[in-house]
Amino acid sequence: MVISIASGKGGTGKTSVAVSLALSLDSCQLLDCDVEEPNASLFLKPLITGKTFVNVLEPWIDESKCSHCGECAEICVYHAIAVFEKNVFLLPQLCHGCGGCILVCPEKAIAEGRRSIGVIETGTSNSIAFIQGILNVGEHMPTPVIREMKRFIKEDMHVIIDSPPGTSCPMIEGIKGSDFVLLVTEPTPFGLNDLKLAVDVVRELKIPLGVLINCHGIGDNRVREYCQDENIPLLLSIPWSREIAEAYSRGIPAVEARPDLKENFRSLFRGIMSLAERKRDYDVQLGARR
Amino acid sequence: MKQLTIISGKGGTGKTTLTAAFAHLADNAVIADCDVDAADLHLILTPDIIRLNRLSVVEYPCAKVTDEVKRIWRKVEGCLFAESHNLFA
Repeated sequence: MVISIASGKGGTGKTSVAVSLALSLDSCQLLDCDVEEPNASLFLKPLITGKTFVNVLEPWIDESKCSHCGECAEICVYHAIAVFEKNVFLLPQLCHGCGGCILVCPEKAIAEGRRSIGVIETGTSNSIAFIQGILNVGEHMPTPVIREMKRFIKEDMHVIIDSPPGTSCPMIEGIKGSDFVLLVTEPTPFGLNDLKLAVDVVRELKIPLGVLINCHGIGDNRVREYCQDENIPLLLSIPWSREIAEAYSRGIPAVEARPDLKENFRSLFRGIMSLAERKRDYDVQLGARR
Repeated sequence: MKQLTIISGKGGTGKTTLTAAFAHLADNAVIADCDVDAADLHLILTPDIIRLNRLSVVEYPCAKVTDEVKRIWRKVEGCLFAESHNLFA
């Protein structure tokens, strides 16, 4: 069972929810896929025991073979190669690793090189198997790191994915292949606006979804109304509480500050399991799955 | 003209709120909401939309995936193109 915790809006509490849910289960894998700003480790302080580098294709140019014909620069839509009369110049940060330049070079002066764009760290925190991806600063492609992280998933375990925010490539890469997506939002016009966008994305991917309202009690009732109108299960509302906010500001997970919340998270998990299984049974009936 | 960017690593820290406050204080300013996947500034500033500009993207010339291209992609662990074409499956 793979559960993704996502949201359109940033700062709604994805990491807090992912960590608290993980701490409420007997054992699970937690993947912090917010590779641009991974924060879950600040709550969990895991012991890191493994590191894997994530590489992408990068052209390595042998200047001694280069005739400066400019074919490589011409095929590159990202303008990652500039060819001058006497030199050729690669801008690695613009390269998307398609290999087009390698193919078109008539002098075979470009080799298939590698560039590391990030690292995947694995470790443990109590009963949680912890995995986090870290994209190097300056790199523009978070998706290859997220994709590589998914290889660490153990299907026989409960897997919780802390997804990147937003509704574009990194978020989609994060939630893709999940059995369920839990969208975390806040009861404000901003939370609602971005929730609607995120719901559209998750529906497009045909993954069952539910909503968690964080900081319930502030703002208005429109998120709840939207969920009712759209037939989206509202699985948990976490009340705004000074106690939780103070713990958060010191890097302490909500369920450690308020152990009574563990039962709420366990019941959230049971709700997710039954919704995901219902979807799976439905798909099996339709013959849609596998 | 001075250009000022409001940015943060973490989400939900108040970029849009601060931008809206500046927009309120500034005379004759151009305000751009660049959070294109979840834009929220319009909820505060409630602008009248005068014109919609449709954007299109250039189609990638390597979109035509030949066996030769696949051979190169497959050799790279974690290559995004190989993955998206299920070459590791």
